[in-house]
Amino acid sequence: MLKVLAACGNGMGSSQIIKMRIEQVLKELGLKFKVDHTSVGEGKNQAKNYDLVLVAQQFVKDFPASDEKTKVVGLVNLLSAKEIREKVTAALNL
Amino acid sequence: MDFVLQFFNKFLGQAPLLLGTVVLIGYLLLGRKWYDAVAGFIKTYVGFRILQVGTGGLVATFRPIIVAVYDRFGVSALVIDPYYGQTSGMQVLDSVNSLQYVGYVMIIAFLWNILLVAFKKHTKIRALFLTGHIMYQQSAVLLWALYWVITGATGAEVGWGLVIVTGFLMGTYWSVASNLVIEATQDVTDGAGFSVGHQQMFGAWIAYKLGAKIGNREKDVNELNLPGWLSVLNDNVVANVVIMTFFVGTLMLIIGKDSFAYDTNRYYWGTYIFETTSLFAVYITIILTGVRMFVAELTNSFQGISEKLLPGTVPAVDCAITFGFSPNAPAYGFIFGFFGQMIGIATLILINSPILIIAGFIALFFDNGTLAVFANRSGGRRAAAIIPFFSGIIQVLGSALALSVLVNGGTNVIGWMGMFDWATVWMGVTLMTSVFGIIIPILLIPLFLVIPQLQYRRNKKNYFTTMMADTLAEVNPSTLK
Repeated sequence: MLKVLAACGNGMGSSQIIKMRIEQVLKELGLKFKVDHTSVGEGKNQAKNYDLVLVAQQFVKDFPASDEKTKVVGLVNLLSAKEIREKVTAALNL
Repeated sequence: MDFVLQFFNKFLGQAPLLLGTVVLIGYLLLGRKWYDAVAGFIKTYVGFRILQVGTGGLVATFRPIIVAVYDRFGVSALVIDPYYGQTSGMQVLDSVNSLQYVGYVMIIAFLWNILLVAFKKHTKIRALFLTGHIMYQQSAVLLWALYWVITGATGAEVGWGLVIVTGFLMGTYWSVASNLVIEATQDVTDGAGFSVGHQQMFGAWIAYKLGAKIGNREKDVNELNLPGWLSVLNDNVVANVVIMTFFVGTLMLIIGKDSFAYDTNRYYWGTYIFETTSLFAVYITIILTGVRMFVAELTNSFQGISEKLLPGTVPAVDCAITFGFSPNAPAYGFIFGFFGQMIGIATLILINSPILIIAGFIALFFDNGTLAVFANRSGGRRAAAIIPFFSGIIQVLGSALALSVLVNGGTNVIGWMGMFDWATVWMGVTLMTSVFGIIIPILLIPLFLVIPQLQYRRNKKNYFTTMMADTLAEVNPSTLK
C-alpha cells in the first residue's frame, strides 16, 4: 500500500485540496493507498514514514531530499489533477 | 411532538452531534458505504471535541494575562488572529447554549451559495465557497458578533430569526466576494481555474486594482533573493511561538512579575514567560488538529454534494493555494504588514485606546501574504510592499473598532479575526448593527448581490467564459472518470 502525506503551511486548506486530488489520481491509477494531511512544521519530521510526500513547490526545500524510500514532489497548481498525475507517475516510475 | 423537541435539544442541539450528522447524511447521499459514513460521523464528532479542548485551553491560558493587563493599565489586550476570533465566538455562544446554531448558519450559507450558482444566469454568481475550516470559523464569528450587538448580555439563546439572517448574509458574502476575485485570481495563477474562498477577497481585489496604479508589474518580487531565516515562517508551530513570545512576552515584561502568580521554585521569570507564551502554540496546535479532522470529513461531503449538483462551478479555495504561484510574495507581505501592524498598535497606545491589539501569526502571514501576491501581480514589488503595510495598519485599527462593541462579552472574548475583510467590511457591519439593529444585515444581502451584476455589465462578453473550458474539466473530477 502506498502511504502518502500532503502538507501545507497550516495543514488546513491547501493540504486538504492536495489530498482530495491525489486520492482521485491514485484511484484512476488503480493503486491501493492511504493519504494523510498535515502542516509543513509537523510533516517534515514524519516524511520518512511515507512513500510519497506532496507539497507546494516553495516547501520542497523544507523536506529532506527524495531518496529510495520517500519521494518528495513539489506542485505549482495544487488543484491540477493533470500536474499531480504527471509528477507522481514520474516520481514513482509508473 | 415532545419527542421531536427532545431530539432537537438533546441531539441536534449538540454542536458535535449535529455536524457529525451532516457528514453522515452527506456521505449517504453520495452513495458511500454505510461504514464509511459512520466513520465520517465519528471523526467529525471526535475532531470537534478536540477543537473544543483547544478553544477552552486557549481562553484559560490567555485570561490571566488579559486580567493582569486590565488591572495594571485599564485596557483590554486582545489578539487579532482567526483562531482567537473563532475561540471567542464559540465560547460566548456556548455560554448561552447556542453553539449548535453555528452549524445551522453554515449549512444555510452553503445551500444558499449552491442556489445562487445554480441560477447564475440571473445572479451572475460563478463561484462556490469550499474552504471548510473558514466556513465554520466565519459562521461562528459572524453569529457571535451579530448576536452580541443585538441581544447583549441577556443570556438569552440565539433566536432562529437571527440564525437565518446570518446564514443568508454569510452565504451571500461567500458567493459575491469569491466571485469578485475570479479574474484577479486567474491572472495571479496564470489561469489555474479556481478562485479564493477565504477571509480577504475584497482585500485581494483592492490590492490587485490598486497595485496596478502604484507599481510596475514587470518588477516582480519573485526575482529577488530573500534571506534564508524567513523560511522558519514555513513552520507554523515555530512561528506561533516566536510571534507570541515577542508580543505577549513584551507585555508580560512591562506588567512585571508581581502581577503573575507562579511557582518561583520551579521557574525563572524568563522561563515562566516562555512557558506561558508557548502554551498558545500548544492550544493552537490542538485547535488545528481538531479542525483538520472534522473539516476533512465536512469538505469531502460538501465537495461531493456540490460536484453532483453543479459540475463545472469555479471552486473558491484557501488563499494559500495562490502562494505557489508567487513564492516570495507572502514573506514580503509578512514583513511590511508587520511594520504596518506595529504602527497601528503604537497609534492605539498613543491615543489611549481602551483596546490594545496583540498581533497574531495568521493575519500577519496568510492575510498580508495574500494581499502581497495579488498586489505583486499587478504592481510588482513596490505594490507588494506598500499595500500590505497599509493593510497592517487597517487590520489593527479596524479590529480594535470591532472589538470595542464586543469586548464587554466578558472573559470569553480573547480576540477578533484580524483578517482584512473582517477589519473593514465586517467591522462596519458589526458597528452599524450595534446602532441600527438587525435591519443592517438584512439590507446588506441585496446590496452585496448587486456587485456581481455590476461586474457582469462591465464584461458581458467574457464573463462566463473567463474560466477556460479545459481548466474546468481539469478541476471537475466527474469528467475524469
